Amino acid sequence: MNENKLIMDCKELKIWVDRVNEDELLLGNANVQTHINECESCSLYYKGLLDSYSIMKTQRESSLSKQMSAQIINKLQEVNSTHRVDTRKTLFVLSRIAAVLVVSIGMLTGGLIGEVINKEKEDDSAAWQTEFSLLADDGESDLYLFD
Amino acid sequence: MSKDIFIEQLQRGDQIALTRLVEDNQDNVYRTCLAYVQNEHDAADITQNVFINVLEKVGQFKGEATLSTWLIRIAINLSINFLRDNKKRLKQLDVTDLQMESDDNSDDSQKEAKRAVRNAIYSLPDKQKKVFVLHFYLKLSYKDIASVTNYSVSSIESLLFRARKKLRSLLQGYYQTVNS
Repeated sequence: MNENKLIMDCKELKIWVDRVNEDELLLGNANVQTHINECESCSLYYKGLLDSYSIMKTQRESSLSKQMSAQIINKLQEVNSTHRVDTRKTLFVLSRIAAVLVVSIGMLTGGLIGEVINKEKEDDSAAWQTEFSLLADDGESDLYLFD
Repeated sequence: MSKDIFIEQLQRGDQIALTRLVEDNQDNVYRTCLAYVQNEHDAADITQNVFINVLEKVGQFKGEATLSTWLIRIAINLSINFLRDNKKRLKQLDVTDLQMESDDNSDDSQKEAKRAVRNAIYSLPDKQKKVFVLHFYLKLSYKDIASVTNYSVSSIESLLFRARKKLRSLLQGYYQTVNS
Protein backbone atom coordinates (compact mmCIF):
# COMPACT_ATOMS: atom_id res chain seq x y z
CA MET A 1 0.00 0.00 0.00
CA ASN A 2 1.23 3.44 -0.87
CA GLU A 3 1.14 5.05 2.56
CA ASN A 4 1.39 8.58 1.27
CA LYS A 5 -1.67 8.25 -0.86
CA LEU A 6 -3.37 5.53 1.21
CA ILE A 7 -4.63 3.91 -1.92
CA MET A 8 -3.40 0.89 -3.81
CA ASP A 9 -1.34 1.05 -6.95
CA CYS A 10 -1.78 -1.43 -9.81
CA LYS A 11 0.91 -3.79 -8.55
CA GLU A 12 -0.62 -3.82 -5.08
CA LEU A 13 -4.00 -4.63 -6.52
CA LYS A 14 -2.51 -7.58 -8.39
CA ILE A 15 -0.79 -8.81 -5.22
CA TRP A 16 -4.05 -8.52 -3.30
CA VAL A 17 -5.98 -10.38 -6.00
CA ASP A 18 -3.42 -13.20 -6.03
CA ARG A 19 -3.56 -13.51 -2.27
CA VAL A 20 -7.29 -13.61 -1.52
CA ASN A 21 -9.68 -16.48 -2.05
CA GLU A 22 -12.66 -16.27 -4.34
CA ASP A 23 -15.22 -15.32 -1.72
CA GLU A 24 -13.08 -12.44 -0.52
CA LEU A 25 -12.66 -11.35 -4.12
CA LEU A 26 -16.41 -11.24 -4.52
CA LEU A 27 -16.84 -9.41 -1.24
CA GLY A 28 -14.50 -6.71 -2.39
CA ASN A 29 -12.38 -4.25 -0.48
CA ALA A 30 -12.63 -0.47 0.09
CA ASN A 31 -9.04 0.12 -1.00
CA VAL A 32 -9.54 -1.91 -4.15
CA GLN A 33 -12.68 0.05 -4.92
CA THR A 34 -10.83 3.34 -4.52
CA HIS A 35 -8.09 2.22 -6.89
CA ILE A 36 -10.32 0.84 -9.60
CA ASN A 37 -12.40 4.02 -9.56
CA GLU A 38 -9.24 5.81 -10.65
CA CYS A 39 -7.57 3.18 -12.86
CA GLU A 40 -9.38 2.06 -16.01
CA SER A 41 -7.04 -0.83 -16.74
CA CYS A 42 -7.38 -2.33 -13.26
CA SER A 43 -11.10 -1.64 -13.33
CA LEU A 44 -11.53 -3.77 -16.44
CA TYR A 45 -9.28 -6.50 -15.11
CA TYR A 46 -10.99 -6.60 -11.72
CA LYS A 47 -14.48 -6.47 -13.21
CA GLY A 48 -13.59 -9.36 -15.48
CA LEU A 49 -12.49 -11.46 -12.54
CA LEU A 50 -15.60 -10.57 -10.57
CA ASP A 51 -17.81 -11.59 -13.50
CA SER A 52 -16.00 -14.90 -13.78
CA TYR A 53 -16.24 -15.73 -10.13
CA SER A 54 -19.87 -14.64 -10.04
CA ILE A 55 -20.59 -17.14 -12.80
CA MET A 56 -18.83 -19.86 -10.84
CA LYS A 57 -20.63 -18.86 -7.65
CA THR A 58 -23.99 -19.17 -9.42
CA GLN A 59 -23.00 -22.66 -10.55
CA ARG A 60 -21.93 -23.46 -7.02
CA GLU A 61 -25.38 -22.61 -5.73
CA SER A 62 -27.27 -24.37 -8.49
CA SER A 63 -29.40 -27.41 -7.78
CA LEU A 64 -30.75 -30.21 -9.81
CA SER A 65 -34.28 -29.52 -10.95
CA LYS A 66 -37.09 -31.48 -9.26
CA GLN A 67 -37.91 -32.97 -12.63
CA MET A 68 -34.37 -34.25 -13.10
CA SER A 69 -34.29 -35.53 -9.55
CA ALA A 70 -37.50 -37.53 -10.12
CA GLN A 71 -36.07 -38.83 -13.40
CA ILE A 72 -32.96 -40.12 -11.64
CA ILE A 73 -35.01 -41.87 -8.95
CA ASN A 74 -37.21 -43.50 -11.60
CA LYS A 75 -34.20 -44.63 -13.57
CA LEU A 76 -32.61 -46.12 -10.44
CA GLN A 77 -35.80 -48.01 -9.67
CA GLU A 78 -35.83 -49.35 -13.21
CA VAL A 79 -32.18 -50.44 -13.01
CA ASN A 80 -32.83 -51.92 -9.58
CA SER A 81 -35.73 -54.05 -10.89
CA THR A 82 -33.70 -55.26 -13.86
CA HIS A 83 -30.81 -56.06 -11.54
CA ARG A 84 -33.11 -58.14 -9.28
CA VAL A 85 -34.56 -60.04 -12.25
CA ASP A 86 -31.09 -60.74 -13.58
CA THR A 87 -30.00 -61.97 -10.15
CA ARG A 88 -32.98 -64.33 -9.91
CA LYS A 89 -32.26 -65.68 -13.42
CA THR A 90 -28.61 -66.17 -12.55
CA LEU A 91 -29.51 -68.03 -9.36
CA PHE A 92 -31.96 -70.23 -11.27
CA VAL A 93 -29.37 -71.11 -13.89
CA LEU A 94 -26.74 -71.79 -11.23
CA SER A 95 -29.10 -74.09 -9.35
CA ARG A 96 -29.79 -76.07 -12.53
CA ILE A 97 -26.09 -76.39 -13.21
CA ALA A 98 -25.54 -77.54 -9.65
CA ALA A 99 -28.27 -80.19 -10.04
CA VAL A 100 -26.73 -81.49 -13.26
CA LEU A 101 -23.31 -81.61 -11.62
CA VAL A 102 -24.64 -83.58 -8.64
CA VAL A 103 -26.26 -86.16 -10.91
CA SER A 104 -23.17 -86.41 -13.09
CA ILE A 105 -20.89 -86.85 -10.14
CA GLY A 106 -23.24 -89.47 -8.76
CA MET A 107 -23.21 -91.39 -12.01
CA LEU A 108 -19.48 -91.08 -12.32
CA THR A 109 -18.97 -92.26 -8.77
CA GLY A 110 -21.34 -95.16 -9.28
CA GLY A 111 -19.54 -96.09 -12.45
CA LEU A 112 -16.19 -95.95 -10.79
CA ILE A 113 -17.34 -98.15 -7.91
CA GLY A 114 -18.69 -100.63 -10.42
CA GLU A 115 -15.40 -100.61 -12.27
CA VAL A 116 -13.48 -101.29 -9.09
CA ILE A 117 -15.69 -104.23 -8.19
CA ASN A 118 -15.38 -105.71 -11.66
CA LYS A 119 -11.66 -105.21 -11.61
CA GLU A 120 -11.40 -107.16 -8.36
CA LYS A 121 -13.37 -110.03 -9.83
CA GLU A 122 -11.19 -110.02 -12.91
CA ASP A 123 -8.12 -110.01 -10.76
CA ASP A 124 -9.39 -113.01 -8.81
CA SER A 125 -10.26 -114.82 -11.95
CA ALA A 126 -6.91 -113.93 -13.42
CA ALA A 127 -5.23 -115.21 -10.28
CA TRP A 128 -7.09 -118.61 -10.56
CA GLN A 129 -6.21 -118.87 -14.18
CA THR A 130 -2.59 -118.11 -13.49
CA GLU A 131 -2.43 -120.83 -10.84
CA PHE A 132 -4.25 -123.24 -13.01
CA SER A 133 -1.99 -122.49 -15.98
CA LEU A 134 1.03 -122.90 -13.80
CA LEU A 135 -0.27 -126.24 -12.69
CA ALA A 136 -1.09 -127.14 -16.21
CA ASP A 137 2.37 -126.23 -17.44
CA ASP A 138 4.08 -128.14 -14.78
CA GLY A 139 4.80 -131.47 -16.40
CA GLU A 140 5.67 -133.05 -13.13
CA SER A 141 2.16 -133.91 -12.22
CA ASP A 142 1.76 -135.94 -15.40
CA LEU A 143 5.01 -137.76 -14.76
CA TYR A 144 3.84 -138.71 -11.32
CA LEU A 145 0.80 -140.27 -12.86
CA PHE A 146 2.84 -142.54 -15.05
CA ASP A 147 5.48 -143.23 -12.49
CA MET B 1 -29.81 -44.90 10.97
CA SER B 2 -26.28 -46.24 11.04
CA LYS B 3 -24.14 -46.13 7.94
CA ASP B 4 -23.87 -49.93 7.83
CA ILE B 5 -27.63 -50.44 7.91
CA PHE B 6 -28.12 -47.83 5.20
CA ILE B 7 -25.54 -49.49 2.95
CA GLU B 8 -27.11 -52.86 3.59
CA GLN B 9 -30.47 -51.47 2.51
CA LEU B 10 -28.91 -50.05 -0.64
CA GLN B 11 -27.32 -53.41 -1.40
CA ARG B 12 -30.73 -55.03 -1.04
CA GLY B 13 -32.16 -52.45 -3.45
CA ASP B 14 -34.47 -50.89 -0.89
CA GLN B 15 -36.48 -48.16 -2.69
CA ILE B 16 -36.63 -45.78 0.27
CA ALA B 17 -32.88 -46.01 0.77
CA LEU B 18 -32.33 -45.31 -2.95
CA THR B 19 -34.54 -42.23 -2.83
CA ARG B 20 -32.76 -40.95 0.24
CA LEU B 21 -29.37 -41.53 -1.38
CA VAL B 22 -30.37 -39.38 -4.36
CA GLU B 23 -32.04 -36.61 -2.36
CA ASP B 24 -29.15 -36.28 0.11
CA ASN B 25 -26.40 -36.18 -2.49
CA GLN B 26 -27.80 -35.03 -5.83
CA ASP B 27 -26.87 -31.36 -5.51
CA ASN B 28 -23.26 -31.98 -4.54
CA VAL B 29 -22.83 -34.54 -7.31
CA TYR B 30 -24.46 -32.21 -9.83
CA ARG B 31 -22.29 -29.26 -8.80
CA THR B 32 -19.16 -31.35 -9.12
CA CYS B 33 -20.13 -32.47 -12.61
CA LEU B 34 -21.18 -28.95 -13.61
CA ALA B 35 -17.87 -27.55 -12.45
CA TYR B 36 -16.07 -29.96 -14.71
CA VAL B 37 -18.22 -29.98 -17.81
CA GLN B 38 -19.66 -26.45 -17.50
CA ASN B 39 -22.90 -27.47 -19.19
CA GLU B 40 -26.17 -28.06 -17.31
CA HIS B 41 -27.57 -30.82 -19.55
CA ASP B 42 -24.35 -32.80 -19.64
CA ALA B 43 -23.91 -32.36 -15.89
CA ALA B 44 -27.43 -33.69 -15.27
CA ASP B 45 -26.77 -36.72 -17.49
CA ILE B 46 -23.52 -37.51 -15.75
CA THR B 47 -25.24 -37.09 -12.36
CA GLN B 48 -27.73 -39.77 -13.34
CA ASN B 49 -24.89 -42.07 -14.40
CA VAL B 50 -23.15 -41.52 -11.07
CA PHE B 51 -26.14 -42.86 -9.16
CA ILE B 52 -26.62 -45.78 -11.53
CA ASN B 53 -22.93 -46.58 -11.09
CA VAL B 54 -23.32 -46.48 -7.32
CA LEU B 55 -26.34 -48.77 -7.40
CA GLU B 56 -24.49 -51.32 -9.50
CA LYS B 57 -21.31 -51.21 -7.42
CA VAL B 58 -22.63 -50.66 -3.89
CA GLY B 59 -21.67 -54.24 -3.13
CA GLN B 60 -18.04 -53.27 -3.62
CA PHE B 61 -18.20 -50.31 -1.22
CA LYS B 62 -15.77 -51.09 1.57
CA GLY B 63 -16.78 -48.30 3.96
CA GLU B 64 -13.28 -46.84 4.28
CA ALA B 65 -14.59 -43.41 3.27
CA THR B 66 -18.08 -41.96 3.69
CA LEU B 67 -20.71 -42.69 1.06
CA SER B 68 -20.75 -38.99 0.08
CA THR B 69 -17.00 -39.01 -0.49
CA TRP B 70 -17.31 -42.13 -2.61
CA LEU B 71 -20.06 -40.48 -4.69
CA ILE B 72 -17.90 -37.40 -5.31
CA ARG B 73 -15.00 -39.58 -6.43
CA ILE B 74 -17.27 -41.35 -8.92
CA ALA B 75 -18.62 -37.98 -10.10
CA ILE B 76 -15.12 -36.69 -10.76
CA ASN B 77 -14.09 -39.84 -12.62
CA LEU B 78 -17.20 -39.89 -14.80
CA SER B 79 -16.83 -36.17 -15.55
CA ILE B 80 -13.21 -36.64 -16.58
CA ASN B 81 -14.22 -39.59 -18.77
CA PHE B 82 -16.94 -37.47 -20.35
CA LEU B 83 -14.51 -34.66 -21.15
CA ARG B 84 -12.03 -37.12 -22.61
CA ASP B 85 -14.64 -38.87 -24.75
CA ASN B 86 -16.16 -35.62 -25.95
CA LYS B 87 -12.96 -33.65 -26.54
CA LYS B 88 -13.64 -33.29 -30.24
CA ARG B 89 -17.25 -32.17 -29.80
CA LEU B 90 -16.29 -29.72 -27.08
CA LYS B 91 -13.52 -28.23 -29.17
CA GLN B 92 -16.08 -27.50 -31.85
CA LEU B 93 -18.34 -25.89 -29.24
CA ASP B 94 -15.59 -23.43 -28.43
CA VAL B 95 -15.48 -22.29 -32.00
CA THR B 96 -19.11 -22.32 -33.04
CA ASP B 97 -22.59 -22.40 -31.62
CA LEU B 98 -22.84 -20.80 -28.18
CA GLN B 99 -26.52 -21.65 -27.96
CA MET B 100 -25.67 -25.32 -27.52
CA GLU B 101 -24.17 -24.57 -24.13
CA SER B 102 -27.22 -23.61 -22.18
CA ASP B 103 -30.83 -22.77 -22.69
CA ASP B 104 -30.70 -19.70 -20.45
CA ASN B 105 -31.43 -16.20 -21.71
CA SER B 106 -28.06 -14.57 -21.03
CA ASP B 107 -26.99 -11.80 -23.35
CA ASP B 108 -24.00 -12.19 -25.62
CA SER B 109 -21.46 -10.72 -23.22
CA GLN B 110 -22.62 -13.07 -20.46
CA LYS B 111 -22.35 -16.02 -22.83
CA GLU B 112 -18.84 -14.94 -23.77
CA ALA B 113 -17.95 -14.65 -20.11
CA LYS B 114 -19.34 -18.14 -19.44
CA ARG B 115 -17.32 -19.52 -22.29
CA ALA B 116 -14.19 -17.84 -20.90
CA VAL B 117 -14.86 -19.39 -17.48
CA ARG B 118 -15.45 -22.81 -19.01
CA ASN B 119 -12.27 -22.65 -21.07
CA ALA B 120 -10.25 -21.44 -18.10
CA ILE B 121 -11.45 -24.32 -15.92
CA TYR B 122 -10.87 -26.83 -18.72
CA SER B 123 -7.34 -25.56 -19.04
CA LEU B 124 -6.39 -26.26 -15.47
CA PRO B 125 -4.16 -29.33 -15.04
CA ASP B 126 -6.16 -32.31 -13.69
CA LYS B 127 -4.97 -32.18 -10.10
CA GLN B 128 -5.43 -28.43 -9.80
CA LYS B 129 -8.87 -28.68 -11.37
CA LYS B 130 -9.92 -31.42 -8.97
CA VAL B 131 -8.82 -29.53 -5.89
CA PHE B 132 -10.27 -26.22 -7.11
CA VAL B 133 -13.65 -27.79 -7.89
CA LEU B 134 -13.86 -29.53 -4.52
CA HIS B 135 -12.85 -26.45 -2.57
CA PHE B 136 -14.68 -23.73 -4.47
CA TYR B 137 -17.74 -25.56 -5.75
CA LEU B 138 -18.37 -27.96 -2.92
CA LYS B 139 -16.84 -25.87 -0.13
CA LEU B 140 -14.95 -28.90 1.17
CA SER B 141 -12.30 -28.37 3.81
CA TYR B 142 -8.70 -29.34 3.05
CA LYS B 143 -9.18 -32.41 5.24
CA ASP B 144 -12.27 -33.49 3.29
CA ILE B 145 -10.50 -32.87 -0.01
CA ALA B 146 -7.67 -35.09 1.24
CA SER B 147 -10.23 -37.81 1.95
CA VAL B 148 -11.67 -37.62 -1.58
CA THR B 149 -8.39 -37.31 -3.45
CA ASN B 150 -5.83 -39.06 -1.21
CA TYR B 151 -3.56 -36.00 -1.60
CA SER B 152 -1.83 -34.62 1.47
CA VAL B 153 -3.09 -31.36 2.97
CA SER B 154 0.13 -29.55 2.04
CA SER B 155 -0.23 -30.73 -1.58
CA ILE B 156 -3.78 -29.48 -1.60
CA GLU B 157 -2.72 -26.04 -0.37
CA SER B 158 -0.09 -25.85 -3.05
CA LEU B 159 -2.39 -27.10 -5.81
CA LEU B 160 -5.12 -24.65 -4.81
CA PHE B 161 -2.72 -21.72 -4.82
CA ARG B 162 -1.48 -22.66 -8.28
CA ALA B 163 -5.01 -23.25 -9.58
CA ARG B 164 -6.16 -19.81 -8.47
CA LYS B 165 -3.13 -18.16 -9.96
CA LYS B 166 -3.53 -19.94 -13.28
CA LEU B 167 -7.25 -19.26 -13.43
CA ARG B 168 -6.80 -15.59 -12.81
CA SER B 169 -4.04 -15.37 -15.36
CA LEU B 170 -6.25 -17.08 -17.97
CA LEU B 171 -9.25 -14.93 -17.20
CA GLN B 172 -7.14 -11.77 -17.16
CA GLY B 173 -5.86 -12.70 -20.58
CA TYR B 174 -9.40 -13.13 -21.84
CA TYR B 175 -10.67 -9.85 -20.41
CA GLN B 176 -7.71 -7.94 -21.74
CA THR B 177 -8.48 -9.28 -25.21
CA VAL B 178 -12.18 -8.45 -24.96
CA ASN B 179 -11.61 -4.93 -23.67
CA SER B 180 -8.73 -3.92 -25.90
